Amino acid sequence: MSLVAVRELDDLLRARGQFTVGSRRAPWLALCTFIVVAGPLYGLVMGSYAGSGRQALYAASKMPLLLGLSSLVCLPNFFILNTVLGLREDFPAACRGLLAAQATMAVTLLALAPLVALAYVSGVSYPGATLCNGIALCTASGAAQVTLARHYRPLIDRDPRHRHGLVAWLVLYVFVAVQLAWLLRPFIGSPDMGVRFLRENAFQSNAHVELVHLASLLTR
Amino acid sequence: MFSALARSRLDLSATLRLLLVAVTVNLAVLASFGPVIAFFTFSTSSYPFMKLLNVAFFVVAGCIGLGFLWRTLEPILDGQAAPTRKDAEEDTEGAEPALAWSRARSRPAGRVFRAWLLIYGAVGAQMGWLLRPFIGSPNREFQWFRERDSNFLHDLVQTLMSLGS
Repeated sequence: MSLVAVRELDDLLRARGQFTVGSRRAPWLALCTFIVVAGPLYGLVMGSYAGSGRQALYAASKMPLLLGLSSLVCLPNFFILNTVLGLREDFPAACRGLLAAQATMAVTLLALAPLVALAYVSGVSYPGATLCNGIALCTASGAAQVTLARHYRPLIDRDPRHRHGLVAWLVLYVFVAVQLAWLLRPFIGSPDMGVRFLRENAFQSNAHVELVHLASLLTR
Repeated sequence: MFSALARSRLDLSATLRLLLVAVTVNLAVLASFGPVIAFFTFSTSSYPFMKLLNVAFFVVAGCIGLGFLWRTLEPILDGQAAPTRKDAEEDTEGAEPALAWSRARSRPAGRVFRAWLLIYGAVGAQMGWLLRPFIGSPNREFQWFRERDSNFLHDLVQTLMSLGS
């Protein structure tokens, strides 16, 4: 069973077998399974920094939320934009690319989980743990871009307007995902702040406003 | 009026139909931003941020709607297919290619559209300002219309500055 899962993972990352770009039957179920299994497993490791099982479970439940909700919020705009650009017929193929990218991100995060765990066991500080997870997330995002590019290459070759759709998706997705990640804090769990599902006043602050504040403080 | 001046083949009802299509596209794109606005409304209490986010989405939706209108309008106003860069270069042999393309783009259709775009953008922004509040400041009483003071651009700059303070 586990051997089959590893083979499937390999197929996903190499874009072959049922994950071949443009294959007739889209593997929706397999892609969703990767997200809902690999995402929480990475979340378990990420949330284990403070040594609290409850915090690890919270982080595990929030990882698929982070990946899934960001996509759901942006999807209506992606659909309308594809329609306005005259690309409605390719919408399922584009969605398949997006989902495959999400699955790749989740799987890459899972692959990096042992490194994060090693850093935790080595006694890294809280800022260090945040940095480790930040690097893991950036690396996984890069891997997701590779898969997304594989799926989008034939679409762009067929109609260059797909490039506009892709850029619009990425901009809106990152914009929403940053705020959602901010809202769903804490993932790692600071040892000084106690175990919580969401931070106090989670719905009052805004990641983008905080970034602007930070930038204005730096330029003063 | 501009369309008639450019001797387009569009009569008044056809022009209105085209504008209606552009507004529909504009509204469809705006509606598609609805979930994003709902998410940020739910997760932030920063009024300046919400104002700027709405302005940004209106600008994006407006540009897409007008882009759609332009694609439809250009061949009709010119009475021929829209010029491609290659066509323009072939039409003006020996001339600087970029300049030739730029000349082709400045046919009556382009001029009409740009003039109309300026008016539409200015009127749209100021109309939005006159009809405010849309979001509703959390620190002010409910009201249908606000008193007439300042203008859209002035408030936009002030909001941008207040976001960083």
